[in-house]
Amino acid sequence: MGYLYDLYQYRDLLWLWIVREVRVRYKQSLLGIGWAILQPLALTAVFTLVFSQLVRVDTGGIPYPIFAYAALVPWTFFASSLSFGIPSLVNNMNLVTKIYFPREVLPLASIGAAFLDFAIAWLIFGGMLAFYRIWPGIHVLWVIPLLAVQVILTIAVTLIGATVIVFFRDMRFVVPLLTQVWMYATPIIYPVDLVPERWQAYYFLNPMAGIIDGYRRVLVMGQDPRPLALLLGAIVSLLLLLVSYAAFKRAEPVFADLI
Amino acid sequence: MSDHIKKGTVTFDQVSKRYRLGAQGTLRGTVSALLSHLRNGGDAQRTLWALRDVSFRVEPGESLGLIGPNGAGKTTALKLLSGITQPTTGQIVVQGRVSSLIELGAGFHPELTGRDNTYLNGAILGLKRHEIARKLDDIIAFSELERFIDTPVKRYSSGMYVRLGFAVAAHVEPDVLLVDEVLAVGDASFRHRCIQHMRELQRSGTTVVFVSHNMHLVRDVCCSALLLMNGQIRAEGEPSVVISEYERLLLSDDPLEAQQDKLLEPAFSSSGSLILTAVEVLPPSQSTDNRLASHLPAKVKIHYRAPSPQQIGRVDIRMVRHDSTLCNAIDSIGAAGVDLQLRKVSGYGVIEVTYEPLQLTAGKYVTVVRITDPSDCIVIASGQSRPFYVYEEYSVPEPGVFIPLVHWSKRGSET
Repeated sequence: MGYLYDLYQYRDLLWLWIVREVRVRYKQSLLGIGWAILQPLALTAVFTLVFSQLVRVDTGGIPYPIFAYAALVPWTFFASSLSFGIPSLVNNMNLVTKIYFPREVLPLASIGAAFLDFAIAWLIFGGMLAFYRIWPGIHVLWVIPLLAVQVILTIAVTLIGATVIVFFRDMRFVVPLLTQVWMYATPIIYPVDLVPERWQAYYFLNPMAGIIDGYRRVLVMGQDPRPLALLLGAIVSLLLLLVSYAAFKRAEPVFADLI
Repeated sequence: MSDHIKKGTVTFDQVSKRYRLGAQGTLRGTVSALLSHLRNGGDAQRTLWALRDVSFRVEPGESLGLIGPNGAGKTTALKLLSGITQPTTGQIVVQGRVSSLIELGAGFHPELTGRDNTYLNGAILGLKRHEIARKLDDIIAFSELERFIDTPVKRYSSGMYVRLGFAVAAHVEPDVLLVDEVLAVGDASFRHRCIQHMRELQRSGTTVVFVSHNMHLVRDVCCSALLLMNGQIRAEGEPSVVISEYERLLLSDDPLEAQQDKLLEPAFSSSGSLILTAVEVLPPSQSTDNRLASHLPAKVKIHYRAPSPQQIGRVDIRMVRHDSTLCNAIDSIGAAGVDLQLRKVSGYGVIEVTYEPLQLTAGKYVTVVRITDPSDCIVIASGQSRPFYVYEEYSVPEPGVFIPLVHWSKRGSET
């Protein structure tokens, strides 16, 4: 708990570092913050082409673009959090070796910056809903717990990754690979129904599976999330966060010596 | 044991810090380290004790100077104090807000403006946003960057960068301030302002721990000093005493420094018509010691060779302290009787100057000699002595650059 108080003391640094990450990321890019929308949109276009024209994936009657986009926006948030957050300590080594502040500020700020992209990417989702005449209704409120579980999981995985990468720089190559594999283990390009019934219990051990499926159900299909999947995901994520934060804090004193 | 420790108190209790050396940070490195560990049963030579069993205490408002050669553990001590790294054994207690001038402008991003970076840097140093907002005008004024504060710092010169970094750090109002040699950067007026600022903080009760190679600064700023060598305390107490101990050790048993002095071959240059072959600074009696007493005379001998008779304009001799401070300069022009006599040289010869007495304060110096042509515009030959050390008559060295010859007296009625 002392750690959280310490972090709270540095809340302004966290905020300013998020602002810095966002500004720096889009400073010299032509489209600026437009990339936040363009990234999932481009992937949606590609997947739509491949999985609704070339290979037909049965989406249960949902137009493929909105089927993919509803999953890709949260997934992009997760993936870009990992890709910026995990190397954030190593990338700021001159800071880590010279000045003390709670180290989790750096990975958390990367997640915060990715969150802004996430929020912006939803803007055109409204347009898509209108275009396809889909009305999610009251189910939309489920987004709040879904997002909460997702953020917990994202922090947990980022902190573990950020700890390990200090010890093993090999992680730089592992992270993109792992993210790729993880994406296929998550119902993004395909619906959960394609996973055989008897494997689904294991399948939902991956919290992202329940989360992404949840987003799609509440935003596009007008259904509640699968309760067991969400619950399982929440439990796994919480346990993971406890373990990873403890590990991060245990390793923190040696970061400056190793980086 | 006092149950109430005041803010600004710094305690080091039998602190040791060990670093592991060698390849780490990749799977391969770790695996091979593990294998060699299994084979040899240990790798004692692959660790380094940066600090060993170091204890000291600094009371609020006091300032401690950490001195010692490179690799003595000074920076490690500061890192431990700031909490960047943890001691291997022992305990460190620092009460209150710590701010370090270890890295100026930490976290500055080149693309962001001076203003944005001020906020960022301030927050890294532990300030709240509203605190920075309140101090922003002061910070900008202190940095003298009013016109450039909304310019991205990538357009800044390195001097501007450092000025802004220091301005932010200076406004943190810490209970404990750690300073590591940052004063070495920047121009003289900036340095002066930094020192001024450190003094002000000290007066307002801030504890200062100061690492420096500039002994004169340590003597001026600190109320006590600690000499570290190879991670252990060699001397502590009154700065002047600790510094003279350090200087004595440097002379006697530090091969590294001696080696450095040898490497620092005196620089000679010549136009060819006049060549300086050596510059010596000698004590009054023949002695092999390269130490000179401040209160005794000293002789500067300039050995020259002129292949053909050569007119010269002026002989200029300067005493330069090791921190590049020019302490005094004399020249031959106008020197009664000698001036004309020196105007022409040929063959081999020696020019001698006697300082009586030397009058320099304790420290390390070199003598720099320049000889100009008759027009006094072109330096035709220059050279310098090997470094030499000056000690003072009484064991406690004085600040300043020279010790005047004075005569004390007193008038008044004794009652």
